Amino acid sequence: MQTLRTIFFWVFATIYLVTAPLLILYALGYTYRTGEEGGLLETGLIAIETEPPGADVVINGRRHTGRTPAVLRDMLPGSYRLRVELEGHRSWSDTVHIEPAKAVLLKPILLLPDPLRFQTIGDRPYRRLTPLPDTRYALLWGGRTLESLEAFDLRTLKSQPLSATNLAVREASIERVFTVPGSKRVVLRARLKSKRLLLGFDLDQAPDDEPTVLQDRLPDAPERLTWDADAPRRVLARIGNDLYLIDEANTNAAQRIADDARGMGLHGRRPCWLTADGRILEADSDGGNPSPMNPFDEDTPTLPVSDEWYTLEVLDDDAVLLRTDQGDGWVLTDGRAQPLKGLRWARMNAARDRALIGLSDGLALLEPEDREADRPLVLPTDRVILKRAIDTRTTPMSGCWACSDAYALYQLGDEIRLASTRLPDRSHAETLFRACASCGWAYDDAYGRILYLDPETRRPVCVDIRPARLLSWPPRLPAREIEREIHP
Amino acid sequence: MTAALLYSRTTESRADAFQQRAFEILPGALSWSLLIGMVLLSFLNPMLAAVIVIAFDLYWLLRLLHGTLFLVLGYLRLSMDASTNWMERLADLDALAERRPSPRRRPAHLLAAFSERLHRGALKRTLRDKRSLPGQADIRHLVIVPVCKEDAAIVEPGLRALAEQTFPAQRIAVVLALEARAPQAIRESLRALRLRYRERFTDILLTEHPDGLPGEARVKGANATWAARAAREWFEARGYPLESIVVSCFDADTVVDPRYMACLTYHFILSEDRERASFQPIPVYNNNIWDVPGFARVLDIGSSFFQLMESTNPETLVTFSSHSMSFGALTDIDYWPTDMISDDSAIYWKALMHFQGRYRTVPMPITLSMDVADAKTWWKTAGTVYRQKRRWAWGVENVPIVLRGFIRGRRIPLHLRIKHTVKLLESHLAWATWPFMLAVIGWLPAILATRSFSDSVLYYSAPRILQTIFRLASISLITSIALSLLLLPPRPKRLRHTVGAAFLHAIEWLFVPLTTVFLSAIPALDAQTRLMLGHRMTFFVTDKTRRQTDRQ
Repeated sequence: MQTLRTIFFWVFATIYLVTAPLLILYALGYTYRTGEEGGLLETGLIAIETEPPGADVVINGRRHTGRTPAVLRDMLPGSYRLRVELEGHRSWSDTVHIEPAKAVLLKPILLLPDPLRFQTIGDRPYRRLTPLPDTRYALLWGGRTLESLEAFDLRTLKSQPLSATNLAVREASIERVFTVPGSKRVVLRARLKSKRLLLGFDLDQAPDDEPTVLQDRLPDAPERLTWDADAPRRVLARIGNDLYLIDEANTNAAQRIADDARGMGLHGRRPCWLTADGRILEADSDGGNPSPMNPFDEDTPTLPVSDEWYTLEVLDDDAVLLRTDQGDGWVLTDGRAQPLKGLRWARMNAARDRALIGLSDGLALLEPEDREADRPLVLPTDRVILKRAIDTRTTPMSGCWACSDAYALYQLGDEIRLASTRLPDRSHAETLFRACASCGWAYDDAYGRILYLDPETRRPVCVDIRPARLLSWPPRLPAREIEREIHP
Repeated sequence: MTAALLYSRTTESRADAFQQRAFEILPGALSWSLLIGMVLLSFLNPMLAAVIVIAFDLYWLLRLLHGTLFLVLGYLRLSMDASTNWMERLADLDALAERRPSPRRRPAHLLAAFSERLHRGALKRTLRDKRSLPGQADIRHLVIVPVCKEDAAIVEPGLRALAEQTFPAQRIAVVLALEARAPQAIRESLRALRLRYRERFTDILLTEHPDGLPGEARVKGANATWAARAAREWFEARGYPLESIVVSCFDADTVVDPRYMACLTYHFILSEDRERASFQPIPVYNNNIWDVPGFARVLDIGSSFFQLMESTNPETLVTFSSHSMSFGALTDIDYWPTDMISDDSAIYWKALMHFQGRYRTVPMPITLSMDVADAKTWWKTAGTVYRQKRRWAWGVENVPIVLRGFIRGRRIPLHLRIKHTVKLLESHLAWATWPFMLAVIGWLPAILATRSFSDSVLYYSAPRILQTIFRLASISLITSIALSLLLLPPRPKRLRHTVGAAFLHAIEWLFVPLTTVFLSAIPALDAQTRLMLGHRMTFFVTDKTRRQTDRQ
């Protein structure tokens, strides 16, 4: 047995001494090729994921054996023409450049259905629609009064009037709609003759539930409202330069937490605001103990505050975005304030610490630069998806994330467009279809479904740009409901 | 230098004390350096960490497959003698001593034929080398059973098994070595046992080891030493030569195979330089294996497998748990260390030092059965298993003493010192760190990937390579599951035997990565850290329970 042990010891030791270096070289991307230019060569790879998966990959005209998701290994450095094909979907193609030991990540590539299938909902026209961002709901406006407002569910494709059994209130005209991304709650500021109303609706509650009446808690009609999506019953309101915190759980009047503020926002559930002397303060979730906002407590830059109102949006614990309605503002990060001009709107993706921002001349991403270098957020000088070739002062633009944060879906004028935020070439945008330019549109990412108003008939139309997530419920539309098919 | 001082943590000079302390720190420092180093490297340089993980996982795979190969060989070696009649073999040895031919036997199966062939080969070699063997009638056995809080229900099955040996029990003396601090009820129950069984053995001695003797810790070795000294007086008073007595130190719950003593006698007689050897059976934990939670069962089957693998490597085999040796050698080395918890392995190291490397452990192809640590509830059992494994891992206390001994013992062959040092350090390092490396740290480079790493080829290659390595490792897992099903005793009638139950037993092995982290690696790291920080451990008597039906 001892002899056998000695033999096997040397056999296994030899296997290890030979295999380990080879395995490590392989892991690092080295490959051995025969031929004139052969030898030990350093290669790169391409990692492809598509949505939906199962697509064929064609590289330099030759079909790859596997289907997506796929990793194409042993690629010698150079340029390759890549095409991804899936039956019933538009193909995707691009030229990719391989560098030694590097991976080119093409994930995910969204393969749009070909043709896109449009479904018109009902036969009634609407004036416009208001999305409840990052939820399955949108508001359809039949007119300007409360009774003409309908809550539309993008998953069931059904709408129902906003509940208000008080007949008099139903005739109130809507002045303003307040929504918060990810919250199924909507707060309406309305006027009934001379009386101002502030009504809160929870769209996922039973239709006969009465709205929450908030106007009696505040001394005047608020100009702005916001709340945390996970705590929608605690509302931060701005009246003039004063900030109030309404806690719907008790019936007391709203608590005034700040005066002479110049801007407001939420950091999680904690109210934060910009003071007149240019500092950012943050209070407890119940509005008490204001203190300089973390992590700016030591090096908080004092901002040259104008008389305009600022919206504060916390990207992550290291970065805050401040902007006025006119589009001026700053990105505060790493104790520094970088000025920002022409910012029209911003959509956060808290999970990834990124923001999609609409500029006066383009669409851009705010994202942390290479985490390895621990660099702060960069301004969109080199990360603009749309080059500075559009003027959003004359052409309205709105947008949102799609496929988690892999794509930006936006409307420019009457075109709904799609652009990747992750693929190497982020300057390319694809026009999907035309929609009413000023009517608004909504998108439910879980179902990959867009809702918009037809530019001619103003009737609501739904279109699916990608498969629903596996756990989505209820299931997809049955095929017989498809009314028409058009190519963009 | 006396034998007691040759292997002791007691030091003689400042330099010696410094050496002892440095070597106490060494195992823990190695383990923590490896774990912390890998975590830091995963943060600072995930690419380098990933390369090291690949190299380590490949090394682990090859060690695993190598171990599995010898596990199977060890199992085959055990199976070869599963039905061997050792008394017939002893008769063959007697015939050889008298130069009489021994009868040829027809083996029942192929493996038995191999066993018979090995036996015949050993007889031939003995004849060729003209070695004279002692007659089996001259061999006597002494069995020491240290008892602290185990009641008669735990001790009696072992005593009964000794009484029912194929080897004449009248040549076996038993010492029930009781701790003076044991409860009165235990004392009474052992007295009753002694009365019931003493006629069947040479005699049963009942000793009481006083608590708190100078130079002693509250450890099993101190009790066993006290009992061995008493037995020596008893044997000497009756004129029995110590050289022909084989002493076995069994745990209180040890139940031996009916052929155990015959097998031990055979190996003792046949071994060259028999007074320079310990005899190690394969410990299995079958007594209550069906009554314990799955994690405890799998861990102790793993321990048996480890011993089975080790039994194929006699050159570096170290005694573990219940074992046997010549009483003469035991007295020469001044018995077991009385201040160390890991007396079972320490006795080997002590003998190795004393006999300047001319000492070995002879593996025996026979099992002895013990209890799996068990308590009343699942959580308490987990706690008991944790403490038991920590006590086993406290065997690391041998490292500084062995290393000091190797530095001083220059007459011990260098290759043996190197082999033992490497194996000792590597085994303790592996025990405390490998489960962490495989279950947690190996994944850190991917989890903490920076952008430059996640854009690299290595980021995509590493998981693929590791996946292949783990798939190949499943060969070992499947082999282990199959062998465990073969080694386990039949399920008691009170437990239903169904396909579902067999399936559940098989999937217990899927939780091995978790159980090895929590009930093997952490206890080992705990023990090493205590030694590193200079905290001593006290002996913990493992809880063991047996069902009434099993007792009957």
